[in-house]
Amino acid sequence: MIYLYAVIDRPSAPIPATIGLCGAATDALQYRDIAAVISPLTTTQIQATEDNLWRHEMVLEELMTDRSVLPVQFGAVFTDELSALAVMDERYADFAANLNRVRGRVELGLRALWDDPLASSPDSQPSDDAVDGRAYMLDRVRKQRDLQARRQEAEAFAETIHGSIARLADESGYRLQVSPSPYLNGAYLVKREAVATFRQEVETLASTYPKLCLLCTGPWPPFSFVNGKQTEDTEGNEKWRLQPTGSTSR
Amino acid sequence: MAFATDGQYEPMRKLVFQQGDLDDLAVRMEGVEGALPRRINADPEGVEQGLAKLVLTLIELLRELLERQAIKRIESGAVSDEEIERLGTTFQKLQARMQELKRIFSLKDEDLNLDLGPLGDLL
Amino acid sequence: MSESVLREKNLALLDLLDRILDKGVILRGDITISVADVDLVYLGLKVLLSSVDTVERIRGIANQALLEAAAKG
Repeated sequence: MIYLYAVIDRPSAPIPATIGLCGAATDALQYRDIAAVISPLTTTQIQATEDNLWRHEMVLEELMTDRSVLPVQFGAVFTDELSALAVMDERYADFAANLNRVRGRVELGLRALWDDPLASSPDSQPSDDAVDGRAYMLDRVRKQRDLQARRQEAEAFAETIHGSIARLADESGYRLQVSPSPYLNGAYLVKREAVATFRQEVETLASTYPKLCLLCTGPWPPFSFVNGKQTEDTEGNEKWRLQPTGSTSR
Repeated sequence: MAFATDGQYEPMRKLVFQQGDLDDLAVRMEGVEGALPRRINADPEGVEQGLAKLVLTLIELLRELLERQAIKRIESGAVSDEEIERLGTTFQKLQARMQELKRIFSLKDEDLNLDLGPLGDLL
Repeated sequence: MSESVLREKNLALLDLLDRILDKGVILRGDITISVADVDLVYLGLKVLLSSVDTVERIRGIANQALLEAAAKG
């Protein structure tokens, strides 16, 4: 069995010697002008433990030092090299395109949490049997309306936050949750040399809005920018931006 | 090198910038993305709970969609008072039954949330 | 380890989890790792339902069901 970490370009250049899961050395499995980075597995009992997750991440980071890397989701196990090669063959075009797309770029994450000015006092949820059907239904209608207003408010501010840093990214996207308080989770595909500028911009953002709770992490392998769905999407980051949406209150 | 001499990764390196109460943020990250404790401490009971989660999520999806449709209709004024009453009673019963099932399988509301892409979250 | 270092470690881990388990190139190997079986089904469901078409279709079905219920009632 083999475990698959990443799809990379430049298969002829030897990959850095790293130890992957189960203490096994990583190896590159070439297919045309790309390769899969793998390591042999002696067990399928791979658990998503903290150590294993960081080990997977570390293999990716080592690779990123000198080539383009498509990070694979944790837990891709194949019976043998042949079945891994079959996947490489099947998705070759997709992989090659994505490798070009993320070349020389890293992912940065931004999370922001802020207070909702429209948040109503925590509604005491009436016990279900105490209310009649009509009251229940009208209550639901009212809650949907409230939420709609809160969502609009949160979306406007999320656009402000996101917009101020997204211009430094080649691609970007974010998700917004409205309830219980607005929470933005953004991903930014940034040229490696622009990471410092990005960081400065986040600092500026923080000082402009001192009440914002902010967390910027990275640089990560481009996890959020490698899926086929987003590649086929010709509008690029515009589509991602259509995602500001929230959740209904409970 | 990312791994220090004892073979441990240094996650702190990943934090580029931070401001404010990160505990609040951590709670949110855990609640929304939800992965860590549930996935890592998997055990046989966890598997059963996982299946329950899967099934209940589907039911919740249908309930939520029906309810939203009903709300839309009510807002457009196309539903009589009597019908509102009947719809409400039905949804109320459904919700009560879901609460019961969630309790049995120790599932929280957010466990049944689904990311519906551009359409937002289920819950 | 100080409390703040521990917290920062956790934040980094949460951020990693968000990516490594839910994002990245999704490859279904021919073996699924032991623990995550159910989660994989669940993730599959998430992917399936994330497609706008699917949701619109389900919405259509829900709408139809409601109409029929109303017609009967």
